[in-house]
Amino acid sequence: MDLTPLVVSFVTFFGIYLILALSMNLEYGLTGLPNFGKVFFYSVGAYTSAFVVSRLMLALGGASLVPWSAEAAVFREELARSEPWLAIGLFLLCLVLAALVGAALGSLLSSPALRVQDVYLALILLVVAEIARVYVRATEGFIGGPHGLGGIPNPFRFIEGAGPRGLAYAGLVLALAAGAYVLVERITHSPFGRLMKAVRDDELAAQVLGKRTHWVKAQVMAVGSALAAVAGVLYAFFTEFVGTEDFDSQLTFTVLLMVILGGAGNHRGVVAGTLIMTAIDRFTRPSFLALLGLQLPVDINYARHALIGVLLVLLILYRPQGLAPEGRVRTAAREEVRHLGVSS
Amino acid sequence: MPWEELTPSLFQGILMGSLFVLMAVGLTLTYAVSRVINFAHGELVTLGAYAAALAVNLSGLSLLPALVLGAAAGALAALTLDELIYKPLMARRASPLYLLVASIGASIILRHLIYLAADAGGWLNIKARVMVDLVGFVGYAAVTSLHLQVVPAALGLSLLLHLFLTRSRTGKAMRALAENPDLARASAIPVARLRRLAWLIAGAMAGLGGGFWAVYANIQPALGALLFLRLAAASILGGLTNVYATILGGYVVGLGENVGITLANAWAGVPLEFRTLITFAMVVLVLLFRPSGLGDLFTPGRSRRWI
Amino acid sequence: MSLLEPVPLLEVEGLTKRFGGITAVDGLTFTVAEGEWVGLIGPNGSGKSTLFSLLSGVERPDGGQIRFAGRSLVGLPPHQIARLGLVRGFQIPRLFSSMDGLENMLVAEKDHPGEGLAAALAPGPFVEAERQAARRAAWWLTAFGLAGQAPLLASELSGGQMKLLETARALMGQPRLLLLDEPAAGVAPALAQGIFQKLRRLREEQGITLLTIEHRLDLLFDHVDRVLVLHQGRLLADGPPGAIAEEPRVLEAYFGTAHWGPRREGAHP
Ligand SMILES: Nc1ncnc2c1ncn2[C@@H]1O[C@H](COP(=O)(O)OP(=O)(O)O)[C@@H](O)[C@H]1O
Ligand SMILES: [Mg+2]
Repeated sequence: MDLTPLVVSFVTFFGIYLILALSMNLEYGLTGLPNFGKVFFYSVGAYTSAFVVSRLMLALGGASLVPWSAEAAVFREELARSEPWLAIGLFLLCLVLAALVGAALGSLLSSPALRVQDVYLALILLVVAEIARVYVRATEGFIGGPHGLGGIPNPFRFIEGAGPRGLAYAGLVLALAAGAYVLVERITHSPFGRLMKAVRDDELAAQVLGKRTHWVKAQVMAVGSALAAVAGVLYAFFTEFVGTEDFDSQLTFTVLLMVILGGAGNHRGVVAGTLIMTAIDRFTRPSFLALLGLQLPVDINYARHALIGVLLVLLILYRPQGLAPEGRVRTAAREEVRHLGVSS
Repeated sequence: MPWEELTPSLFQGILMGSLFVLMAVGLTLTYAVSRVINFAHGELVTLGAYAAALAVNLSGLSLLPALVLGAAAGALAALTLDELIYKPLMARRASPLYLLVASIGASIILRHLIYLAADAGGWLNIKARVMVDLVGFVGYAAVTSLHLQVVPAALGLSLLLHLFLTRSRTGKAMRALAENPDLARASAIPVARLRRLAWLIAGAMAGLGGGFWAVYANIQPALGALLFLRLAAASILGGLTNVYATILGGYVVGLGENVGITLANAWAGVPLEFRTLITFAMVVLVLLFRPSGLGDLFTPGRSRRWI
Repeated sequence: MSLLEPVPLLEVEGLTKRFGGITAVDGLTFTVAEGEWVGLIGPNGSGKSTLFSLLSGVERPDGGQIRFAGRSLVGLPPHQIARLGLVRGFQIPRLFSSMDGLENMLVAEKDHPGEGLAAALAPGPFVEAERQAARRAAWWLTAFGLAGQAPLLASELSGGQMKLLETARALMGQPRLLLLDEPAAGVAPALAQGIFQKLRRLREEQGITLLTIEHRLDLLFDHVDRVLVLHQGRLLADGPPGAIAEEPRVLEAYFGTAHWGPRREGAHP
């Protein structure tokens, strides 16, 4: 039995979910911003990839095809196989572009929304995600409307064999997730991270101490949305297809569950939460059960979602702090006044 | 555009608006009385729809008892949700955001339990087998028996709720509870009993709306989830707290998604698929700029009105 | 600045704030001179805390003017007002509950150059600023007897300690004018006297201007230069403590009697 596809999908999804969960932790866990539009910023990365790659590759290859047609998809895959540097370059371009677009949308969209209460902010962002999905779905000229757009070639298309190619890509995704982890750790354990928590604990108190809290929140939304968009790029180049169905708000809540399960505010806990949820997510797929020769009397997809709901409710009811407690902000200040017993 | 061409979307808008009113009033009521934005409210609609449809299709019940069954299913589920999840959470002083997350979890659970059951029973996409009679035409619009049932039901029940809240002792106490929960707890008001009653009423109206929906169109387990944001829109237009503004909100959403989109399509070429965007845009704008909703239209100069 | 003609640091003119039907602050006019210590008293609900909220930009006035160091404050957001040097404490402490004492203090560091996002990614050049902030925080914590509480979460402190931390944190923000809302409430009587002694020393050493709400009049009158008396949002009296203590209208409004007497416990939460 060849386990490679399983390993590839597990590791790749773990990396993608981890980036999403860490960005959610930065926003919701540490700054108290319930970004219930997470899936929208994720979709921004995927749409950016689909849009840019589909047009640019056709233009560079001199083909005049409908970007979202099957022929165009095949054309792009062929081109990526024969021109490795082009494929890799486009992938990198998408990462950078998506991060920029994500950051811009994150701070722009939220600039009016950050002035309202957290519950209203949650609802607004949730509805924005829904608006974007309906809009993209109804607009064929963007990424093919209801049909979606295929042929977003994996940057490692030049590697023969799905197994090795998938492993290479999974490694790349994992490396980027590790980078995201270092980034959010740095932000958290800094004076800025301290300010984020202050905004979460009591925004007004931070304001009367001279802190521009709206600006803090806008910056956090920018970073979080850029990260989510990067995850979206990684997803698009993994599945090599982008459609609107993948960007249901259910994903937002799965990511939220990863954060709450791991322990909001604690990145290491969130890694654990993501690992557990990715395992549940990946090992309860019909394809995996078929691999084990298991036959369930119920549709496992429905059961998985129900389980996610049960976990969410049980956690909120019985262990809202999750697996790991939050911990203190570690900066140079702690060693400086070690005599106060604060250097934990 | 001649008025006859607009009549179909006008009648459709009134029908949908009435259904939205039936379904959304409960969302407002539960928020006002217990300060939970119940995301699982949509699933109460789904449960009512399935209960009614299955009663008709499997047990051969006629429409009225089937609708009663749908209302009962919604009421029972609503009460269970509150007792099992929201009440214990509030006893632990959970923040509004936590309550919101819990209700999202509850909605996910209910929806997928319904999926599992419907999948097992082969009811993933069904309709109540009830004859809908054509009554006549107004302009180009076909008026059916459904119009004649749903619109009076929505308005009649809203009126009943209004009388209950303003005339009866229990209703007045419920309003006092909504207005100031802390004060209510400190006084002699039977908070727990009123709260149960509010959830029962809310669930029953949602279930009834679902039952009517099963007569009107095909139903599926995601029905409530698909409807939820529109119901929330109606409720949010009422500031989440005002029953009267919610009634107005229900018709604004119903007419906006039918008459509004028809006009926008005719005049500006807006695609019909953007129907729900009208509603969603309204939600975002209201939440951003007037989170107290349209409720103060009814009580100018006064602070927020509670149910 | 001459002692005979003090420069007004704060000028309030016709300040008004209504909540629905109630006029919480009603055409208030007064000044506070640089370096002065002014006490603010008045019965419960007379608008003292609301006045602080108006001065600090937390609430928007319905009318009137506020000038601080020559600048109009009306319409400015709270953070800008704080950076101009007007810092307030809250009657009920608003600490960052999930953060420890040290972190609470560090957040208040004024114009911390290392507090930006860019500095989080490249902290090198800003480490010294952070260390300096830590030393200042430790100094204030020690001054308020909170050194032992520095590692505790704010939510783990006693009510009195919370109040002390709230005051220490406001001072960390380097105020030019410090507004304190009952800084000794919930603090043991002996400690309360200590807080006022500390504030007095601060004023002498650093020239901070103070506007302080306090219900223990004996305590307040020992220290302040001047007392403002509020009643139903209006200024009832304005004068040195000695004169205020003799003013019959004040006694009438404040105690409902025309003579001093022991205050009932819990009458002014
Ligand atoms: N946010 C508010 N909303 C409505 N009324 C308020 C608000 N804040 C204060 N008030 C009212 O304004 C009046 C003055 O209150 P406050 O300034 O807290 O008095 P004090 O601090 O002197 O006890 C009181 O009647 C109080 O009920
Ligand atoms: Mg007060």
